[in-house]
Amino acid sequence: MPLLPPYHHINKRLVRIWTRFHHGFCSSASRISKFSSSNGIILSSQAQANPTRIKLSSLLWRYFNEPGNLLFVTTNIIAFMGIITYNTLVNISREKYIQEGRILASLNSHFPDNVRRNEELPLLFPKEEEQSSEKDSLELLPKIVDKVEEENETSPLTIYSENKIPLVKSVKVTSMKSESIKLSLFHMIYSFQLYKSVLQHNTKQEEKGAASWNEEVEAMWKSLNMRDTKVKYPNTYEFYKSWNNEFKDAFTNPTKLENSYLPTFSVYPAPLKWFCDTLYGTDLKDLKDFQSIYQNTKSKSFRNLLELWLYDNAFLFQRKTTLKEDSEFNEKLFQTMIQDIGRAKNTQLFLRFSSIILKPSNPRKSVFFSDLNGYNVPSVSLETLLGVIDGFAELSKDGLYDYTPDVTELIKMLKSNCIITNKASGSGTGASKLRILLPYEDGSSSIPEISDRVKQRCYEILSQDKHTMETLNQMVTKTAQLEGQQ
Amino acid sequence: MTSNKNTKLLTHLLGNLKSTGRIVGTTAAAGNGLPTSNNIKTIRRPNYIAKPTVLKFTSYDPYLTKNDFLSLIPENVFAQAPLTTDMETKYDFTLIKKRDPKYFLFKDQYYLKFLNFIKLQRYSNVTKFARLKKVRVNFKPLQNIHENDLFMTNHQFYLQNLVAAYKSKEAYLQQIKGLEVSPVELSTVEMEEMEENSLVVWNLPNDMKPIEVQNYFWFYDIKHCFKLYWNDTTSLHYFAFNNSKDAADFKSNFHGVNFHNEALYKILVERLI
Amino acid sequence: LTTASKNKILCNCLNRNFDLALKEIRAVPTTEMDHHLIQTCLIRSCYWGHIASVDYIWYKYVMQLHSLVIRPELLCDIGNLAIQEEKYFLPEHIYMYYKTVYGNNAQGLRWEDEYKLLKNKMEGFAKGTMEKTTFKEKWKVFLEDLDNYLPKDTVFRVRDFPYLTKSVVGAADSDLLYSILFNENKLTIANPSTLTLLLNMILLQSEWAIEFRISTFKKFLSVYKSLN
Repeated sequence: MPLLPPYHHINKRLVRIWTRFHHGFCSSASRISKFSSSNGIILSSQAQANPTRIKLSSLLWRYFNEPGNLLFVTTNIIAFMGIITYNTLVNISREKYIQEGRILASLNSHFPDNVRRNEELPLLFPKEEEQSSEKDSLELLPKIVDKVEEENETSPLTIYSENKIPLVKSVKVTSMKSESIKLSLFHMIYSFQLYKSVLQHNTKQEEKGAASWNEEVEAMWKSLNMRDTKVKYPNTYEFYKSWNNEFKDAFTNPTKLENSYLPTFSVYPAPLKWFCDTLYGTDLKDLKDFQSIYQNTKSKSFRNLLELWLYDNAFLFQRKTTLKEDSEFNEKLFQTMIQDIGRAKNTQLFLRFSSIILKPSNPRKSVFFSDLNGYNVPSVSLETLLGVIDGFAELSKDGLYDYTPDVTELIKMLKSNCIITNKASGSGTGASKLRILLPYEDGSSSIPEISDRVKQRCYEILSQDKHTMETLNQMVTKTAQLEGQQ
Repeated sequence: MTSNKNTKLLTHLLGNLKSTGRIVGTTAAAGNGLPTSNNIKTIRRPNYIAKPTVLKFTSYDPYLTKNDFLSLIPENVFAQAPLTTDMETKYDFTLIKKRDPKYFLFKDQYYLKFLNFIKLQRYSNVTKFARLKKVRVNFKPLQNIHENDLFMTNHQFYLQNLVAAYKSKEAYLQQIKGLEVSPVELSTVEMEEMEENSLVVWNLPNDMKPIEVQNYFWFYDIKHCFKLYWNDTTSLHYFAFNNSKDAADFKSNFHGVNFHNEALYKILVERLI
Repeated sequence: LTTASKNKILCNCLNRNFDLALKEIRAVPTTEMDHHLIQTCLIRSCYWGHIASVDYIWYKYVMQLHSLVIRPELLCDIGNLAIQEEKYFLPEHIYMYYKTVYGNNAQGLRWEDEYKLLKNKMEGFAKGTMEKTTFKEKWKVFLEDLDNYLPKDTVFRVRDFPYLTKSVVGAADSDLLYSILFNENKLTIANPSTLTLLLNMILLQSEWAIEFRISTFKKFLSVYKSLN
């Protein structure tokens, strides 16, 4: 209930109240001394004489003497509050009256006669009413007390005994995020396996599981009218696109997450079973854990799915890491993936991953590459960069598409953004100290200034590195070839 | 298979997975949800209800709602939208929290009262392997006649006492004494309203009269309040409010607060909904 | 963590022996802890107002490990208890937790819950820095976090903000409040009930003269007559 009633009521009432208050205040002032010991309880016999005024003043008195209000802040509410509150109380009691009337109406016919009738009186100031009934009800109280002391069960404080607690199987405490990642991965691979099995149902290639799994596949196969369609191989890319569309946000709702769990995998077909075995064993807190799953997954299509999944969900592994080993590890993972993807000729995916380096706006940079190089911008090692260039070279061997612009971009980056770090990464070669800053789009300027001296030094190192020179030569000859062809 | 057909297949397959929420190993076998395996014995025995309509669920968590129980159904696992009315009719049940009839406190049990046995069986089957807050659910059908009767009578007592308490202290005391009372028929909505407008409060000082208590919290629209129980160390009050917002706000603002800044009187509030 | 020790902890919790239960909980390594057990312990210790357990479980299993999902109602109770027990960082962390966990899901956030949690955050700040910050600073925080952020139909009630009210002191603040109420402000007030809140806070200051308060009230009525 708001302390101040709606304003359009105030004006009307206030006029009335002001006049009443004016009278009431003066008369109650003299009564103050009489009431001082009564602690706010109105015992005046004059109550019947002038009900409204007395009630107002009694109210005012009550508020003069309020021991506390509002969370025990020791303030005394002033008479003025009484005015406002009188207003609200009128509203309260009016509502009370209506509500009481409603409930009484429904209860009236049901309650026995020996229930006190005075409760049916309009309760404008229930507090006064209650006092008179309070005395009578005190008689009842001792009986209740006796009862309480006699029987322990009537105490509201329950005592629990250890042997009566129901047994519940233990579930270890895990982080919500890792749960959600695991469930997401599980579901993706599970549905892919199901999709594959349904496609290859009733053929030799079908990977079978135990009875309940096979029944499921059979039921799905029937309901999708697969009888007429020719068997083909599952398309991982298409699958991922559809799956991501449907289930991308399925594992983010926290309350639902608590009810989900990784099922027992004994009935699943072998590839799925092995995957689950790997998955369930890890904690999945960081990229290291992800990598262990990735490495242990033998199935090519599963690996492909993991790569696709990682690209979309890399942000989940974003961590502010200050450990050199961690950041090196993450970069290594990137190298491995680029290599695998390139070898598998997954063009789409390769383009996506390479854009992590190429595109300034791609936020995944910070997941794989650290910025602990003195420039506060993510950077890649020479090895990584060359790896990407090599990958492009592999792809262009098909002759389907010309990746020269991308490669040129990379070489440009190499030329303009190279720096030398003090942190030697183990091996002694100068090239290992070279890093290339990645353009980073976050509102501020893209690349900090690199001094010419540093650049010069970099070029020196580059010219001495065999791998770099070979790659660059290859690129040059390739471009010449293409130009020659045109 | 052409790309078109492939996509179509995928859409169907994934859509199916999403709408049924069925995963081998977490849900009952493929079927249409009707009982295939009967986990409820329908043998005829004395003191035995062959076709129970109430499931008992033990939990120490007082905050569970009907939605929590509905979300166990596989079809709802991936449902984005709030649970449909279709769901309501298919698994028609009311959720009842077990409360002490005298003190209105939560007693660590929930009852799911179904419209009929078939719905109970259906629900029981689809949630056989479900987990609520990571714990495997264990629904026990009330098949023992005594147990079932006890549940019914306790619940009735609770309702009657609550109605009386909400009416007034005197009505409550009369009710408690066990006077002959004909059952009051209030609709579920009215009962819910009464529950929403009620609170039980621990640890208010023993020497305060109800009026004083009520005046103390004059900022809140308290209808009346009175002591349900007290001893040397603690006390339990019942508060009746005139609207549910004030009851809710009272809890939000006072639970855990020390009355008069004295640690001895730490107000603890429990809602009845 | 054997079943026996698990049951022992649970029993102690249910029987309100929280000091003992907490000691036993501390002894369990986090890798061994049972989810259901720790969740029950949190709910119970909040119910019975045992701040030490709540604090420990909150920081260890919620903030550090992100392993528990806690309902908004419980979050509110924990915050309230924390303010009383002088754990003034808790309400802020609770609010952050709420936004992180429930924020991604469109259905997860409800304005009523968010109001309560923001209110706790505000009150925690008000009580925690009672002497250290001025009312002006607190009011600024209120305007930024609540007034300008929550939907306009949120009603701010003075009963929800006891500590903010209490932080009004002395004559200087009376001028300040008066000017906020009636003069042009640099920070615009977005929610209509904020003005009422401010007025009520003025009215509740027992140290101030009655005449001042009455005149403020009268002026308020005349100035804001247009406000519904």
